[in-house]
Amino acid sequence: MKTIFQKDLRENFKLALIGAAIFILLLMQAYQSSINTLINLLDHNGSVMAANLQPLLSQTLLMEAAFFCAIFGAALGWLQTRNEAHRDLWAYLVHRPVSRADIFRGKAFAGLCLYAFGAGLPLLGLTLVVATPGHIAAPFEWPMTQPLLAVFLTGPVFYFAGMLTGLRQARWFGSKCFGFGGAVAASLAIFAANDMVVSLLITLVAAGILALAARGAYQSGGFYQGQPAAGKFALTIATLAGCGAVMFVAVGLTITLGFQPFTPRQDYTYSYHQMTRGGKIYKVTQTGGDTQTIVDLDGKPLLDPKTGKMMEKQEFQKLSVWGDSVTSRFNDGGQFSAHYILYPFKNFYRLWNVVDRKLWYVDCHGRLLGYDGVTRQFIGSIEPRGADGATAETFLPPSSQNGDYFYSYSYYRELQMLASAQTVYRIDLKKLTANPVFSCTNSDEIGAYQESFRSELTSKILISTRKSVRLLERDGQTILEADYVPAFTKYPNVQLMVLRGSMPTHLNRTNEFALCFTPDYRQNEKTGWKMTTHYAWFTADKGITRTLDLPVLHTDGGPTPLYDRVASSLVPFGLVAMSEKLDAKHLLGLESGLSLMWTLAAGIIGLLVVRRYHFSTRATAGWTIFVLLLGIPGLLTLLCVQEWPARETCPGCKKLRAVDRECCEHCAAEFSAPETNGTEIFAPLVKA
Amino acid sequence: MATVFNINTGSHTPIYAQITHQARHAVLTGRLKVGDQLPSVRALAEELVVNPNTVARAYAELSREGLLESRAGRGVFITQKRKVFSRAEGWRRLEPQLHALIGEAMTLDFTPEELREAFEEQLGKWKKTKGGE
Amino acid sequence: MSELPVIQTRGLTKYFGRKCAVDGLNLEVPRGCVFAFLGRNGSGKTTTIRMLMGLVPPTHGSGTILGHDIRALTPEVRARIGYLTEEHQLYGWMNVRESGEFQSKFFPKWNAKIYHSVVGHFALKPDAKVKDLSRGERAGLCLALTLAPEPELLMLDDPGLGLDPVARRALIESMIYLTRKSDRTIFFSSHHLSDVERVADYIAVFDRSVLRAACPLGTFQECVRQFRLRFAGTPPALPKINGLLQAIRTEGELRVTCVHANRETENTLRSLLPLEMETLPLGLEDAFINYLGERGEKTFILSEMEAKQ
Repeated sequence: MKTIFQKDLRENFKLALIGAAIFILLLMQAYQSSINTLINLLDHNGSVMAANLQPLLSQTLLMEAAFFCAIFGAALGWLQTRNEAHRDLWAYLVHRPVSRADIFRGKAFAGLCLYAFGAGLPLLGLTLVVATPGHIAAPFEWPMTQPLLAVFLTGPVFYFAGMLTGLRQARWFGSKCFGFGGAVAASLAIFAANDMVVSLLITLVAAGILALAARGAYQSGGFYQGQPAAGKFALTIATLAGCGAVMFVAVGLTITLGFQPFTPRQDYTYSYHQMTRGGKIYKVTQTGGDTQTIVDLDGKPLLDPKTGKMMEKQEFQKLSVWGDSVTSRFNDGGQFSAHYILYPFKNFYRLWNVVDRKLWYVDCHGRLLGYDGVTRQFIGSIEPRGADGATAETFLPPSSQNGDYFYSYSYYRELQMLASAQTVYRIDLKKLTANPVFSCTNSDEIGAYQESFRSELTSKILISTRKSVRLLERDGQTILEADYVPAFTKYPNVQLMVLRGSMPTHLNRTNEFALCFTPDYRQNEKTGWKMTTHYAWFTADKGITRTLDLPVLHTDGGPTPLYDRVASSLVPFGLVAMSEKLDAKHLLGLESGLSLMWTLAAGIIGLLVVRRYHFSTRATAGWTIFVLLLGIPGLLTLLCVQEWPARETCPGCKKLRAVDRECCEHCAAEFSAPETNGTEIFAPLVKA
Repeated sequence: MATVFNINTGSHTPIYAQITHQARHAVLTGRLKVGDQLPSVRALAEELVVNPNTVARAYAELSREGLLESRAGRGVFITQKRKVFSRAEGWRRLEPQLHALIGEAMTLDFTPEELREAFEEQLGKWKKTKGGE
Repeated sequence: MSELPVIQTRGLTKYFGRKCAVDGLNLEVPRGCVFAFLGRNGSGKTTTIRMLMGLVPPTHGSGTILGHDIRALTPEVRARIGYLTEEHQLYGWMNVRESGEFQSKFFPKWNAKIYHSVVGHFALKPDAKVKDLSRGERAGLCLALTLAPEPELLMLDDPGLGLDPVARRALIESMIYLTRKSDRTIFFSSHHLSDVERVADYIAVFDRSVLRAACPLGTFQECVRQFRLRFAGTPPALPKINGLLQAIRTEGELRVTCVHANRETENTLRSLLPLEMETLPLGLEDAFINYLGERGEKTFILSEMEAKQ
């Protein structure tokens, strides 16, 4: 094994070098683009992707790395086996006193080392550069390397898929490259996983299955027959994923090219409620691009007093009121929750403010960190100390900034307020202090806050706690307060709107306000959209004057076209039955019925094929169950993965029989010797 | 132990037959004498680049004819020729050669008389060289 | 000498798709012989060898090599078999020395003396890259790598293919050298009948995926006989002759080649009343060509063309 390992290491080292060179260029370019983002942020107004400031979290880099690792891994695996695919070189390789499993082990180990060299070293280099102060004006901590690590680890999955492709004895336009289906499916699952551990588990399982399949292919010379059971199983799973992918793409193409162009387009229609500055609610229905109907809650159309006709969109916009909204995140474990691997930025920090070429971040540990944009050095951190100045607290991430983008407009730069779960602070960036201005009671907790920049609310701060909604001045003085009704658990989102007076620049106590509580989307979906939107009108003096509950205007996409329903029925019935959506109504639906039909048809065809070739009882049962569970993709897998021998007429019973059996499956006759023609010369082979 | 053998592949005479013919001829013409040692089977096979079994077969046939003798541990030697074939067998072996000779002479337009004379002459010469053996 | 054959097959068959490449092969190769495996291109020789080496699974039938099932050859058995492939493929990026070192690490019984003598025989420089070697040099290196582990059984798939006469002679010398130990068996396929004639004890002849002959070399040559019959005018039609291979008719002459000719065959031919009839001895090559050429009666191939002009 060691000799094979060394040989393969040398044989393919060039590939690893080429890979490393390409990857280093890609990473250098990504690093440069992060520096460019910083320069843009400092020198120009506009919006930048805050994630790009830290190359390790840049989505572009992660995507590029994902593609590189997949292609590099696949190429390595494929070329490493392709080099030796020549019949005689393969014979030279395997005809030696070593088991093929050992040869595979040596080669795979070498390949993975080369992969680690070509893809891992450049990544390590980037990480070290980024970890060294003075390179990146953004927070760094070691967990930030996890997304890239997960991406890096998809490489071996593709490596084994490439190996399988290089070895498998199948047609190029057939199932030869179906192993990649499994690899692609696995990497999508890895990137979608919310958890590093889960993604590692998926990687491990996928790489394990494909490695087993590649090992099996080594043992049988690329055929299904002659593999150990584990290899057959792994090959079947890998091929299944490929068949599924091929079917998915084929159906998608058929629909987009074959049906959609010939189906009349249906305009997408949706409705929403909109409040005006007068505090009145209208229902707006939008169809297609511009057609809009505006009716009041009684269904009477809103007419433009100037024209007497239905009010135009632009006119209505002038009447509409827009407020600030905050969303409490008590439910899902905080603002810095785990996100997709290809979209990890929100896990680690928010860019809060940029002042005097210095960047201020709230990181996931609740500290405010400052970086000098010019020297890219760390300036210092501010940690909240509570109202008493002695309690260790953590800043909640500011919701005034969308997580992805930082809008580098001047009024954003006025931001001064941050809050912890208990306390609201006014930040002094010069002295690096956080001065508490407001605390909620011990039994209460701040869920979300927003420092506003809307004209009438400028430099006010909206906070929602478990019990109430408040609007504060910067010095902590409460402008208004309302109870959080209904409870935030079901209604995490609250919007504050300032009514009356056209565009007031200053609030006063006579202003009327409206609060709008929106139910949680997922919970509402579960109830079948029965939860309502709660509106409350109130003034600072009188409190709540009236409330109103309106149904959530949930939009259906309209009736699904028939071809879409037929296409979705191609999902194997076994999966449909397992999905949680299934109830009596769905079971009787067109999709389920068709799905059941497809699956049964596939099962019957599978059974016929299997019987025609007289599989063993065990194999017959296994394959029939497999196809019945997995429907059409299962049937395709059966057809792709097995070798189908020629059949010829049995001289005994005149029926067709497979040539790969020792005797006829119908009449048990053995194969007869080839016919003689009288010119045979057979003489005993004895020594003279 | 001068090389007396010269093998031609592609001929219609099998290699073992070529060896036996050439051995007989060499003895006949005096290039090999009684008591001369021949190479071992292995050595001759490697010298001629032929399968040792082929050489062994030729040696076996020559031994059967009494032309060779294998002395244990010492090698293969030409021996005093003993009569090993019956008269009838002798004739059977000689006949095709005579046949071929006469056929060749006739195609070259020799008369039977000419042939007879030439035959006598060659026989006389041969008797002299062999010293009336 | 063990009496178990080193290679034994029963009804060994291989299909590629619908095409039958090897049909019901029954073969026995005794220990200690040089066995030549003959046949035209594409007749199934290489496939047979690859099946015997466990590289291609047989479609049906069975076989053993050194007493082991060919479907499950263990590393121990493979260590005892030297296998030289048709195209002498090696790793092009290695040089001669590295190729030897690479191979030697796998074989506990590596005989460096044999390796160096074969490499020397072909005058290979240790630093020469394999990809820069000529075909003959590469064959020499392959041979050295195959011989150095001192295999009990040597399987050579057309070892002379593409070699010049000098290299081929070196190859044959090596093969003969190998037979010094009497329990060594050499199984080789070849198109060079002069080489076969020199080294083979036995031959097996493959014709269109079927084994037609397996016998000692001499037997084959003796079994294929050609008769020349002279006639005054056009030769008469040929009656049915058992074992007929070919009958070529030209003006006033009929040449009949058949196997297992006996007195009955001669009587049948005499009954055609030829002016003259003689038996022509055939060399191995002619016998082989007649044996594997087109069967049946035909006129000389060129005279047909002339007739058309």
